[in-house]
Amino acid sequence: MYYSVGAFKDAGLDPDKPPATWTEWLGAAKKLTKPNGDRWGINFPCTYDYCGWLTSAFVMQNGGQYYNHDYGGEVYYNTPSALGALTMLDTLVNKAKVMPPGVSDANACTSAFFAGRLGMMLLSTGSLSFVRDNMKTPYKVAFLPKAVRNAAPIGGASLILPKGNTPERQAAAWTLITWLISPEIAGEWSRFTGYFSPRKAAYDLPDMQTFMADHSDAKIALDQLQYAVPWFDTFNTVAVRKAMEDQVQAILSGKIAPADAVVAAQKAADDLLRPYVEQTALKAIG
Amino acid sequence: MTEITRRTALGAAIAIPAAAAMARTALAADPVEIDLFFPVPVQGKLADKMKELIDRFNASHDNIKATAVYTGSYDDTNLKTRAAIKAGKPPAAVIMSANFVREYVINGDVDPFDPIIEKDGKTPAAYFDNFWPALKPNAVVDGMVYGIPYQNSTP
Repeated sequence: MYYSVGAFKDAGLDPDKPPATWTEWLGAAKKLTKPNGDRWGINFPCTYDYCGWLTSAFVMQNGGQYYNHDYGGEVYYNTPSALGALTMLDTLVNKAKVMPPGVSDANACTSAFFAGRLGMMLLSTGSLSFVRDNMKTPYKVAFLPKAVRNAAPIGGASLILPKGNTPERQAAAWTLITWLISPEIAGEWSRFTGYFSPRKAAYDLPDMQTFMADHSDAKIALDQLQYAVPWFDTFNTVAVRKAMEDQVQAILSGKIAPADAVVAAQKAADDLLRPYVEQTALKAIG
Repeated sequence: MTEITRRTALGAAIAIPAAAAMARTALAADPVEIDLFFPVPVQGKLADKMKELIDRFNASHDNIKATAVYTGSYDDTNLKTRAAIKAGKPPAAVIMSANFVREYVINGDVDPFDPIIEKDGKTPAAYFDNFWPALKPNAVVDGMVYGIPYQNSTP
């Protein structure tokens, strides 16, 4: 979570004490929000992909698992933990009105943040360098506020080897991969982007140690790793992810009640997962 | 490009045997051409930086010519990779959204890293200790390494 020090001070909030719980988060957002959209308390991107990632964070913070981490055929959308998370979003947007209605993209969030029209935003660690380069007034980074527990889903990308390549090409790809994730290059990429380096040894190198000493904001993501939870992965991941994203977007637009949204999301997801479930968990044994 | 080079060499072999011998020699020294699909899901100049990194890789590896192919968002990169695999022209490597790895395994569209790691004299488990443990659930599926973490985040 990124927040504006100037907006916090202006709203009478202590920038050294960012909200740590959903209740404190709403309280701070109310103080930060000014009428007529002059300043919003909270915003985050809820376009496809971002929306599912952050929704999974809210549900897991609320004690849920969101999906079966070991088996790609089950999601837990129609659950108390998901209903509570979606109700929290409904409160922020439609009841307390501390978050802009409708679906924002990352550009809308960052441009409002840079212009002083947004107090707090949820955005990927991967945007850290972009924020650092463009925010002209002081900002800080904090853990996501928690509900039942702290939880932060892992995001980012991994190198894979698609099937169908010759051994010669695969060996060359491995040489490239080994180079890209060497501590030196992994550290350089992390410093350039803001993504934390997956390669632990990158943080042992002098360049990285100097950088981390100079940029306390880069340390938050590493510290938050103690609360890391895996990222939504199922059979037919994108479609099953969208089954929930469509409902969350409808909530942000004030078009559906949370209790109906979780039912609709679960049904759509179950339909999409059925072919895989029938080949696996429901496969007849005889 | 490799295919075209080979066909050109083959054409020369039919026309002039001496030239063919030279072409074969040249072919042996040709670098292995590989393509890397990469996404940029956040704001910033990440695509420029990636191309710079690949240029540096090529400059320090005479036997490989890597090309970085920008493939858009995580979702677009997934679609383009699937299309390339379906067309029989899979990229040599892809920087894929970490949470799509499991589905590639389910669909049988990726090779595990285990044999190539073992060839380097390491056990896959020991190799994965190079990375933060929190990254494992999205990269190791059914006990095999299918993803090598490249860039990671939390909100």
